[in-house]
Amino acid sequence: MEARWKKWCPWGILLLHGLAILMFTKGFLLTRTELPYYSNCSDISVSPCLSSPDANVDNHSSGHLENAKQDQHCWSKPAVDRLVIIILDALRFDFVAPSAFFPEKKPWMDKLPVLQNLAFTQGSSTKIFKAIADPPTTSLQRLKGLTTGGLPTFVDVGNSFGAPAIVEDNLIHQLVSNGKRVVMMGDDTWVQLFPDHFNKSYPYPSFNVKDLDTVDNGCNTHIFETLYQEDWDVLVAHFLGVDHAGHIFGVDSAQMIGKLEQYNQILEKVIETLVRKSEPGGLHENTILLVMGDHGQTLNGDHGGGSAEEDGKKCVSSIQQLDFAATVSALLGIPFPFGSIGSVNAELYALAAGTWNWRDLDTSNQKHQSEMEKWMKNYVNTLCVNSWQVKRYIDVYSASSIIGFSSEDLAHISNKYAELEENWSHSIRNLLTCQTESCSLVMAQITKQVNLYLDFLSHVSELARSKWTEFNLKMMGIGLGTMILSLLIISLAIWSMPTVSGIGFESIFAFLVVVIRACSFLSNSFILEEGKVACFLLATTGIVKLRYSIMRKGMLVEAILFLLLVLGLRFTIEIGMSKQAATSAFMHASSSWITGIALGDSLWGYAAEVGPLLVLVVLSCIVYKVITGNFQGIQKYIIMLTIPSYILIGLHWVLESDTQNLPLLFEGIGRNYIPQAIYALGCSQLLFLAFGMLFNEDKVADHKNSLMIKTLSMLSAWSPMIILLSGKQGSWIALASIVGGYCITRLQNTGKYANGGKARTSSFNLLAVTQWNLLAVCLFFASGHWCAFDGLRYGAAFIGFDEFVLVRQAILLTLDTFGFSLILPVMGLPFLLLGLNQTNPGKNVLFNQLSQMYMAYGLITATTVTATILCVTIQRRHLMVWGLFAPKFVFDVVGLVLTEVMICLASLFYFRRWVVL
Amino acid sequence: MRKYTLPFWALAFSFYSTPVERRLPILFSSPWPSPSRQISAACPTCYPPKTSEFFQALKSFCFEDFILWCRGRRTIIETPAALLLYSHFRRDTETYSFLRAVGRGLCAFPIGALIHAALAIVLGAPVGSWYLLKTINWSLLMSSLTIVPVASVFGSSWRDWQRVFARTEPNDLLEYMLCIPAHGAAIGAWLGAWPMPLDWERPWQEWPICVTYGAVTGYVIGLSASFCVACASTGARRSRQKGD
Repeated sequence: MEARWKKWCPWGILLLHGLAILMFTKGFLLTRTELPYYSNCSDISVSPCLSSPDANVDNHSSGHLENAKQDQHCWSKPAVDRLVIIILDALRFDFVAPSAFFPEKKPWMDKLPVLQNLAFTQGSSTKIFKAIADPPTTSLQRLKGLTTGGLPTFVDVGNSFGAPAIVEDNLIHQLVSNGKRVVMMGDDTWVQLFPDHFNKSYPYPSFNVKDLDTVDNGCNTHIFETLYQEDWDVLVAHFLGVDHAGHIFGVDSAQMIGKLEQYNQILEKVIETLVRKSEPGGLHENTILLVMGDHGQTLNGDHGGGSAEEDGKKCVSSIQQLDFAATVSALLGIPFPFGSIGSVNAELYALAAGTWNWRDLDTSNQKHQSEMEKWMKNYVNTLCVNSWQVKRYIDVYSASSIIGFSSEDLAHISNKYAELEENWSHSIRNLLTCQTESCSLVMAQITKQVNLYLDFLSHVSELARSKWTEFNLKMMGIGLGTMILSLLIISLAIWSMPTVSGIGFESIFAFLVVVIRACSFLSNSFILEEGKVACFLLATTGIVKLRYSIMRKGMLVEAILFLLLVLGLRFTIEIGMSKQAATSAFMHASSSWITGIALGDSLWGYAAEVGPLLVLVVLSCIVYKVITGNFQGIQKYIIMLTIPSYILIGLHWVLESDTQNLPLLFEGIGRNYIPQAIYALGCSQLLFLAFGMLFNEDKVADHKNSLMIKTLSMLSAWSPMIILLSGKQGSWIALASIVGGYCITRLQNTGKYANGGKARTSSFNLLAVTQWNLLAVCLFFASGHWCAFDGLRYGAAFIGFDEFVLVRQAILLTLDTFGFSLILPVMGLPFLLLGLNQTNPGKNVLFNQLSQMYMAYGLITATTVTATILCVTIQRRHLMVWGLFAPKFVFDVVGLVLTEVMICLASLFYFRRWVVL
Repeated sequence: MRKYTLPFWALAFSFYSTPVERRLPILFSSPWPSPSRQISAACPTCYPPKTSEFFQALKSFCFEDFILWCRGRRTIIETPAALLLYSHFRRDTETYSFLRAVGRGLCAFPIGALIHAALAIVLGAPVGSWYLLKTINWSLLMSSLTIVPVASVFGSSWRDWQRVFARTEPNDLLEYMLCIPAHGAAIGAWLGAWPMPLDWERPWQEWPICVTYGAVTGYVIGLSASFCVACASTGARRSRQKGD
């Protein structure tokens, strides 16, 4: 009866933690409420602004505005007829223009000279902007931000691979509902975001990161014929190659340079076509071309975070990405999206009228001056509409959302706006409509009003930026409280089990280590250096163990071996962190000696090729030696399958390392079939084990041996897949985990006999479980991961597969990320028990110990996660909350849930036969 | 018993005679300039360094005026003093001469430094040519605080070493004086490493400055604790004698 209750214990904990995490996440990662309202042309009549300023201002519509039909006047006077948007995904600003980020010139800089030439030769009609994106910088978030003019929130990152349609009011919706025809080509994310909006679309699959050319070639074939056609108003071309080249090869690579050169050619051709057709009355007489990146990328080609490199996309004057939707709407004369909080950017808006450098113009030039005045009047009216629209949105938003802006902030906004409106209604509006000569004297007043509007708009967007994440403190509190409560419950449950022995120095020390690690998460610095902290604590436990082994005069070799292992882990972690520092805005790039090694000469490269293979041989030998021990029956053959898997991994690596020398056939086999074969072998091993457990009902006398066989077969089934996904470092890390696990298992017995040499039977060692956990954390960092989305090794998801299938690739990525740090440690935990000095315990004792050990392991993980949650709650207004704390939170929470799922599976697998009766 | 309290008083005097604010920097006293951390270029305004007057004063005192004239002197003075004092109170006075005890201490000096350096590197002390001399300096200091006195007193008696360091079972006052400050220094150094990753951009966060501060603080606390133990045990003994 009691055993049955214990069997469900892990599931209960999982459920409890799942609930707590769900509650907290709901409070913490709240999205902005999306409003179901849409802007309409007729809304303008409610605003204080002029519906069509030039109807009164200038009767003689001049120059290139003649074509603009009066009925298309909606919110603002259309300034252009057609719009070509070319999006180069992950375009770094320094691809286009030199930037001050690096002191010296890098090979990837200035690779799009065509844009620079245009900007500097044709003067007034071309300009380069540095666009500043808000984090999170993933494509989906940026596209959403670009088209809605709002601030996408952190939660949407999770949707990035699923790309749901945008239901909020957005630019594309406005274009379509105002009769503009939109053509789209390139990244198929657009079609997923806007399923029914495009007149014509040429989508290409975007998720195969290894494919640099499909999307770009697709764009290339369609863009030129489309440019000659008349049946569209807005053309969107989204090129992906640079993003993919960055993900796979990094910024500083030949592939990246090649892609950029290709883009340069395409852009040259596009511009040539546009220019050829731009004669008066031509197809592109009044067309604006926007070449932009949706986000940047870091040096190793990843993005998703909030580092300065990623946010800065292309230019010189800067433009907030928020402003894109409003500015484009104003240019085309359509209503601004309802939820847009951006402002109409003066310089971009002025480009269309050719007056962007009006400040520099000779004021004595009458023609220029009148042009400029006309533009200013138009612009001030546009800003009036813009401010009115933003104010309307803020009002509606705070009315419909319970926790919106604070009342002081709202009052402040209202006051500011009322002041603006009064000034507008009493003076400016009249000035705009007056037609006498005296009007020219009021330019100063208009300029002042423009600045007031811009000030108001930037104030609102700043406020929105700072307040947008609406934390639901009640939900967060409930979640946190449940977590803390669950910790108490687990502690009590462990305590109440019969096998617990008294509290010794080791237990207190282990408790202290866990608490210290948990407390370290309260500071952002320690989160950044989490790997080092874990390693420091692991080394401390190792030193304590060394002290014990000197005290007991035994296992000195194991203690020293363990410290050497920690030393190795420490250097590996530092190398991983130097990788992180290269991409992170928060970290110092340090340790010059590491780069000295990492660069390496041919000998080092040779060692890096051969070393992993040798280690694989060692691993195979270990497996072989284990099999030839005292193994019988079907388990032996299941474990045996691991050796061919290792051989296949070796073959795969050899084929990958020099593909040039091999015929194409072998290349294909090496790239995809071998990994697939390894996955198939691993899955069949797991299936055999599962079925074997269901049907194999033989009674064993030696429970210890039976448990060992089960554990070994489980580990050998998982390991080939995880090693393969981790790449060449995988075999080293597998070896490290075997050595570490062996040392911990051996060393746990040194602390015994503390008082007078009497062995306490059947007490599990809390310190050893803590060490096991710390080793797992160290392995996470040593295998080149860190708790940020750019710390995911996306390449691992495409080992063995070329196409993107959400579930499959997500599983592979999870296996890579948590394989060594979570799956193997949890599955291998019974070894700790088997290493205890105890003579053949009964099955109930063994079961109790094992479940206790698993609960202790879960408790340690849950404690650190609770600390993370607490820290996130405290630091929720911290500058780095989205850059650092939230990713850490997501990683920890996913890790906890996965740990507990694995514990449940392990308890099903290891305990089943004991609990049947 | 009185003779065992003598080295304690001598050492304590040598510590307490220097004003407290001078004590810490002298002991560490790196002759190499500390690399001033650069404020993160990407995010210079993340943490505006707070110009707390206390830190300013401490910084200028520790790194500008003081280090200049007393670099390295304390380790040079401290080590021979400890060596001679503890050698005087060597065990096995009959078999070992005073000079031999000094010799043992001198031998143990680099060996202890090596052990400390190795453990520090395992724990995460920075490696590289820039830090090499700093690590040597620090580990020599640690050695003079922990290993050298014990080596002078016990020599190569492994049982005694094991008793004092691994099992922490000191028997008499002298062993208390060896054991508690040494443990204090080690624990203090361990605790002193914790501020190192913090982004406060203080020069004292560099390896091994704060670790040294921690070690010295721990040593002083250990010394005081052993003094208390000494007082308590002599007091107890006296009262017992009175009772007899």
